[in-house]
Amino acid sequence: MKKKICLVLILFLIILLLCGCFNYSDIEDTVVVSGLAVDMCDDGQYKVTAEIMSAGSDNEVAVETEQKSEYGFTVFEAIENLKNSSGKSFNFRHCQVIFISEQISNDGISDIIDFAFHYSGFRLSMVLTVISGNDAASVFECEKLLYDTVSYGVFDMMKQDQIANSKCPSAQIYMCLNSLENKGKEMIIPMISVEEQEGEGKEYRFTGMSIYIDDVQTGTLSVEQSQLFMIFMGKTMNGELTYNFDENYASFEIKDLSVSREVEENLSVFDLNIDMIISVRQLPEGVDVSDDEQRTKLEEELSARIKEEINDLFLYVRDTYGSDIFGLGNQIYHVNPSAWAEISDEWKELFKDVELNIDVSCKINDAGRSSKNIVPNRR
Amino acid sequence: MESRITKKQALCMLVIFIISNIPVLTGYTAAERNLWLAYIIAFIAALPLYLIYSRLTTIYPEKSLYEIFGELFGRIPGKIISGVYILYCLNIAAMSVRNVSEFVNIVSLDKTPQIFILLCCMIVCFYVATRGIRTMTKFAILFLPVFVIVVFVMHIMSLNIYNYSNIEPIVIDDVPDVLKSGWVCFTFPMAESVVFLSINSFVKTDKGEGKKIYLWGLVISVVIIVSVVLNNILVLGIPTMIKLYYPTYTAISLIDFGVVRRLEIVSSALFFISGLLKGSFSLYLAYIGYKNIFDKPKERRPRGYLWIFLGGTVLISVAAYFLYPSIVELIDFLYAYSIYALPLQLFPIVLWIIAEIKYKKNKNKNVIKSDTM
Repeated sequence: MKKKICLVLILFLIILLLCGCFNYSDIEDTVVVSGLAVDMCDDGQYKVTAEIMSAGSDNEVAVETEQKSEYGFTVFEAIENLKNSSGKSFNFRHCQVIFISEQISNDGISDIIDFAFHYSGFRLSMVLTVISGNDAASVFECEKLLYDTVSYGVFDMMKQDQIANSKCPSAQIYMCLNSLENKGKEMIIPMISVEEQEGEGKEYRFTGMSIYIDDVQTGTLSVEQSQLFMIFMGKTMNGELTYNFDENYASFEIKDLSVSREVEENLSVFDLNIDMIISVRQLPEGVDVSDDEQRTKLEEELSARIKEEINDLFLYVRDTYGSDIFGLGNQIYHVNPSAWAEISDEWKELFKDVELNIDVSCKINDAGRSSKNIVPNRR
Repeated sequence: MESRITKKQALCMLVIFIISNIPVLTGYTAAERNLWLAYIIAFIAALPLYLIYSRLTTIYPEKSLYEIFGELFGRIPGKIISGVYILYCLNIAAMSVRNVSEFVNIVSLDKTPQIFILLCCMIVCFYVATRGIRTMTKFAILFLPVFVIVVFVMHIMSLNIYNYSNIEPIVIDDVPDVLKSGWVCFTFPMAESVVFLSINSFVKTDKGEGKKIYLWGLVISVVIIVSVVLNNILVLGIPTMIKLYYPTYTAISLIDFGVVRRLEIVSSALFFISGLLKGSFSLYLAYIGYKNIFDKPKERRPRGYLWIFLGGTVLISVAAYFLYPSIVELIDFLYAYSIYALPLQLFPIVLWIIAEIKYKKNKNKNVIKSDTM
């Protein structure tokens, strides 16, 4: 009997525990944030704008979004102000992207990375993106193309690009932190722009990447340069290359890429070997890749062009920005840590004198369904 | 006498005892990219110690650590030393439970008071410990394969986010730091298993089978720990890894394998269960010591000592709460722990030397006796 009474008492006590945490918040008091935009105001305060998702009204199965902004001298203060002014608790576990204005990027973004790293509400897989020119919050005014929220649209656009085209670098928070603290490698962050389309509202577009020295943006690369950078780093999974051959455009698809880099003994000359296997997607007029001679000629021409472009990119970044986004210093550290210890303090200066020997080898392995051109019968 | 356990059960329990806190807490040492090497150094240092454990189990088969103290040092000194080791068991339990509660507090229930999480953990530990050694070890034999499978799957799914340059250059440029880290890894958790000798009385180890349990236990644990550490380094990179309190949790949270993502809940569950199992087991080891000190009958089951378990649970809860003020002080605490726990962890060397001398003396006596007969 005693045992039964004890059991009943325990069961009643358990009921008290099963009701949840004492400081719980109901689902209707919680807002789910899909993306954040951080801008800098004239008075030195951060303006944080959250893209908030909510269920559709009138029993429609749809996600609606709205934006809410607040100010603070730190990002955390602004986020807390957001919570206070809305009276809701904010759930950032589904937040995929943090948009940063170019102004903040130019001033330094270590504060934002530091906050995003420490704040346990954020996931470290969140992606940083710079909004070129406009305010970062303006991205939320864009048309939601195929997606319920702009943030998810941008996130998937970049993710898809990395799989299909490999033009857009990945800049998850932990990667940015590693780049900031790693030896001999500077940070890169993808960049998108918000453009007004006639009669169609605003649209976002991937426009390349911003490059840094420490945490300060020193320059930008275009989409084409960004693609070459990804090839340089060996991070291209897939991608298309389009070239003009005597007023005829031809397209190729990168099927496989192998990149090796070596540093010579003097630590100022690097050898870059790129082996690329490509498929022809649109043949230049008059070229028949089933013919060995013509195919070899095309491969050589392609190799020479890619080599020239990569060399131009390297010289442009080295001479214009002096930012070692290629991680050449990091390579010295990996190969020869003791030598790196001696030159690490002067690496930013030494990088400006670095030479690069590039060797590109393209192999055409297929031409789709046919290796022959269509020859129109022009009478 | 409580029911016996098999060698496999003892082995699995030992492995969980060693690896329980490490999968999540691997970012605390100074060795940075050589952390995996620090664990291997700790393994090499622990190897002789584990050989000594297995030798002790051969010399004193079916005798617990506390009984060995009594045999070697006499009744009263043996009980005093046993008392110290009981406190050490409670300390290990407190650390384990505190790590679990701290983890829950940081990664998910950040607004819940830690004392509440701690008490919930202790209720579980109390219940599990009172169920007895067979229940715990049976669960261990079920749980360890799950742990190993999860670690293996974690590696496979992380392959696409591995950055192999994170581990380079593989040279030891900071030997003192690597050795210091190796020392911490040795004391926490490898040499902690000195208290594991207390379960000797439940396992048959007379024909050198203790060697199999201890050596295989150590090898399996080190393989799991090193593979987890390597995974953390390859996924997160050194700057991120050394800044995180729970790098394994974060490394698993970054897995993005098609539709399979947000797997950190799995690592949380593993950490939670293994941490509490270690806490319960340490409480149980303290209870064995209590029975030995107060000469309680071995036949009586743990359920007959509920008040003792309750007392141990309260002690662990208080100790766990006051162990260190917050996770920020954890690293300093671990260094302090590695100093004060070291004598207790190395004490089996003294035990072994005395035991060998006594063993040889007894052997000679037996030979002389047999000769005279």
